[in-house]
Amino acid sequence: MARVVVLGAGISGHTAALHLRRLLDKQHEVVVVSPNSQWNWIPSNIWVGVGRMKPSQVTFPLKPVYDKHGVDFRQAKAVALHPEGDERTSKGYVDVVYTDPARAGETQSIEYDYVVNATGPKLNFAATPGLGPDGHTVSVCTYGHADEAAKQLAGVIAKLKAGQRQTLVIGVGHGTCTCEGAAFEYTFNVEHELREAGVRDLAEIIYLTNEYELGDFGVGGLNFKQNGFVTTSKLWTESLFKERGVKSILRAHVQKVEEGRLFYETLDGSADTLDFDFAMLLPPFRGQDLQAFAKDGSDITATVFAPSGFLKVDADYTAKPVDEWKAGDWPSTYVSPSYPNVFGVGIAFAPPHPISTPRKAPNGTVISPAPPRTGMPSGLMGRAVAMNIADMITGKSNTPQHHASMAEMGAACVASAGAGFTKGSAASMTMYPVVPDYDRFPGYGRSLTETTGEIGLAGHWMKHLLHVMFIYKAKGKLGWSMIPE
Amino acid sequence: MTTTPSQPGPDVPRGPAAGLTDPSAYEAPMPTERTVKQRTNLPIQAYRFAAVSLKMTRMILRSHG
Repeated sequence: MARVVVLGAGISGHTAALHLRRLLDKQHEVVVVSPNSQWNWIPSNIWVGVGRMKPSQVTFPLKPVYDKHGVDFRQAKAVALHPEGDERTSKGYVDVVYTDPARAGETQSIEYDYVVNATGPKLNFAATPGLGPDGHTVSVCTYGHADEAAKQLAGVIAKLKAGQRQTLVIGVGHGTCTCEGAAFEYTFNVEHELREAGVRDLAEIIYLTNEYELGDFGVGGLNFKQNGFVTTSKLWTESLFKERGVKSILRAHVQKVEEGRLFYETLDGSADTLDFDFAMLLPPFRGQDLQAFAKDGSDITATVFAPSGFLKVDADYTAKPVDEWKAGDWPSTYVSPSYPNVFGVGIAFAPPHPISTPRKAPNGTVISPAPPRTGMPSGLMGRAVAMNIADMITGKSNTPQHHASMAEMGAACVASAGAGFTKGSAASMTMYPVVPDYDRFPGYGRSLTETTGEIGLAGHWMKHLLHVMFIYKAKGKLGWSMIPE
Repeated sequence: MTTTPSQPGPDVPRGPAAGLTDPSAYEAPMPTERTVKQRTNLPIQAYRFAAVSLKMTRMILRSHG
């Protein structure tokens, strides 16, 4: 009998847990440890953030799903990893603290044969003083944050209807943020809602980002064929900003936020302030506060985790200049180089380097996007790791044979630009691979056949379809495993 | 148009914020009225939905090995 412990129940962890349960006999245990009782389809938080959906439409309770599938769910937060065990056991174990209201604060050590760290990001609002729901800005990172954002946005719309001009700043709250796609989506959903409310003319919308160019999205931008030309996501995105009258501040790092005012610097060394009535600024991410200890109790956190707090895996972490970056730098099995039964997937694994070119302001401030690793890539990693662990438990192989490198997989990204069955729109993008591979695809780093983009109502329908399909899949309903990640 | 930073005094009307780009300054072309209308035209979008679905399915299958 083997026990697999999955830490985290987001897209990656939940996918891994369901596949593990599907692949392993009932004699083996699958345990999921997550501090949250709800599963959240995060891409639809954008619609919660503008009041188009309620939190209950983007979430469901995890426990009934896990009970149905025979997964042992423990609503708790992992705080320490002991991959070598200790003086009383040679088995690895993880220390958890329960967040389940019935056992709040209770601690427990859970032994494992394999552990998957899918703890996702720590929303590091603290990196920018005054940033976040406890400060002076809102967020759409969680359904609760998005619900609060919708309430504040409703207040802004009421003021606009009363004839008061309003400035809305939407974007990222730090120079090292990722998920610019989500900021882009929220910008255009807000713009759409203001038009629908008939108050767009009184609102100034400013997109503030750490991207070097519009359309970078943390993946260094895209190239694709359109009307007989190879065009760029920069041109394509700028065209949308122009059409919808959205201003932008690029290459920016927010230094601090006060009530109604943010302070920022840009890559060229300039610094300024920007007054706002409403600001949705995403936080930078770092790994969860998970420590690691050796058998003798010594702290090995720096060995197991990168300084960012993300788990080191089978990537090439050698520091190298951008022109020496290779597709092979990226991990494919997500196994820890120190411990063959420890895996890190989704946002929780430490990427070898960014995808967008890293840049610094003259004073040394890093202003460039961190690499995104959410959605489809997260699901694919979770599935590959589940298959590898199942193979090793059942004796089919001794080492991981299934691979899910971001340099060998594509991603479908549907960025909403406004909700509505007949008036909505979204940018539907595909890219292959996520991480450019200039050896396989000289010139652009990606396949020009598989990398595409278009804007229209069809994209909105697609995003809505994905919403329905992935919530169905995550609930583990009939045929769930037939739906791709 | 990318502007230079402004640091106004308390009583001086301030200029545009540093790096603020106005929509009119974007180099990208403006879509024509026809293009914008096509983006919400139901028959056209139904066709595009099918086309996008096919593209995504092909890419997803390739990524799933």
